[in-house]
Amino acid sequence: MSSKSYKSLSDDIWKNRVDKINSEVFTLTYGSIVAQLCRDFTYAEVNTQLEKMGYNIGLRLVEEFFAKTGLGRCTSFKDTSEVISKIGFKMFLNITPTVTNWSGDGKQFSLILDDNPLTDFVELPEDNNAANELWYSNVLCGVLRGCLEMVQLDCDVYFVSDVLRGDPITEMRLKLNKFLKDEVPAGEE
Amino acid sequence: MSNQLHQTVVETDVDNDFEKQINVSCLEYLLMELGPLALRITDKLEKYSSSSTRESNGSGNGNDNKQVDDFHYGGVELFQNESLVSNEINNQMLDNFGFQIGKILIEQLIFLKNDGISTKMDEILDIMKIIARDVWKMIYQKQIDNLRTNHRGTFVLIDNSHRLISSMYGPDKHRISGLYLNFSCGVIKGVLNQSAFKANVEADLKSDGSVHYTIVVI
Repeated sequence: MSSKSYKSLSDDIWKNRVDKINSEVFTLTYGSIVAQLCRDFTYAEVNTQLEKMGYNIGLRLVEEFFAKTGLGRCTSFKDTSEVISKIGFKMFLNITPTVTNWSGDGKQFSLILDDNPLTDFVELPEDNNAANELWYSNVLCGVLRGCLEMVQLDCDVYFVSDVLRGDPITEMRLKLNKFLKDEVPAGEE
Repeated sequence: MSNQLHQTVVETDVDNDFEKQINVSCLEYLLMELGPLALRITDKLEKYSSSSTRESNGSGNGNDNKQVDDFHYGGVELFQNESLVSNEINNQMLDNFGFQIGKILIEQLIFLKNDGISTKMDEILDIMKIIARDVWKMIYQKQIDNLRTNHRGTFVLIDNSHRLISSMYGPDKHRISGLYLNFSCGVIKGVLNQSAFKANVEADLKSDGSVHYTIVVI
């Protein structure tokens, strides 16, 4: 499928097949979760917890993704990147990050998030540690990792920069490690 | 409870003020993950404290205390750990998540809708109506189905199908749903606290699947 038809597919899904709410409750809820975590843990541990949370979400979210899109296998990792940005992000968060910075071997790319509903009205704590150590939206990394694992792609997903930290752009990096083999669940051979 | 007042909660529209929209599933996934998150945090915090005691005892090899981190994420193994699910810290934490969110939401509601909804907050009944109508709709996309009061400081909110719990099945339903009920109770307490009321809130999952919140104002 061309990237143009991805766009029209996702516009259609967003318009007709998604129940929508205002993002504020979501943003505020996520914010208070992060705030609570920051009280209990170091920023490094907060990042881990957010990622785990996202991973769990990703494992389940992928079902809704397939149910609503009816898409089959991607033909290439390039194809995957387009689907993530134009359909995945669009149908859940109503944003379309830019896919860019491909590595030479075609196994790594970046997503630039111009708009991130998670970080509306958010300011990091004033201490320098937060700006250096906390990846506020790290849940997204987990979600992507979980989703990709469900389609047999073992990937590393991490933030490279975040406007919340004072960086000029918010950039997520995706790195394909390997294709996982289809595994038959135990006892179902 | 004699002298009951039956009220059907009136439909109001709290949407459309905030132009950014997202898929409702995002919020639902996030709220569902609060349970496992709280379990993991509790487990971690317990381990911090128990590992320090174990070190001082000099007998810590860690095998006796199976690490939650070894479990497969996304599975339900986390919920099988009974002592963890019924742990007081854990329930307190979910209550607190709800409390914080309730506090923020009521502020937001008043700020955003100051012409839309009644912001008369001096009567506790008004606040209960706001919880039943607007707060519930923000979090669960549905309103509380029934609000009762004895007019002496006790309120009962009845939710015929709790958005997060109604889709759960199986023998563990009662145990696990407790996690999410703690959260809901926290939300109510948070809203009341922000409105300068203190209350005991208890939730009870009935056999027909409805949830009764009993609120006793102190």
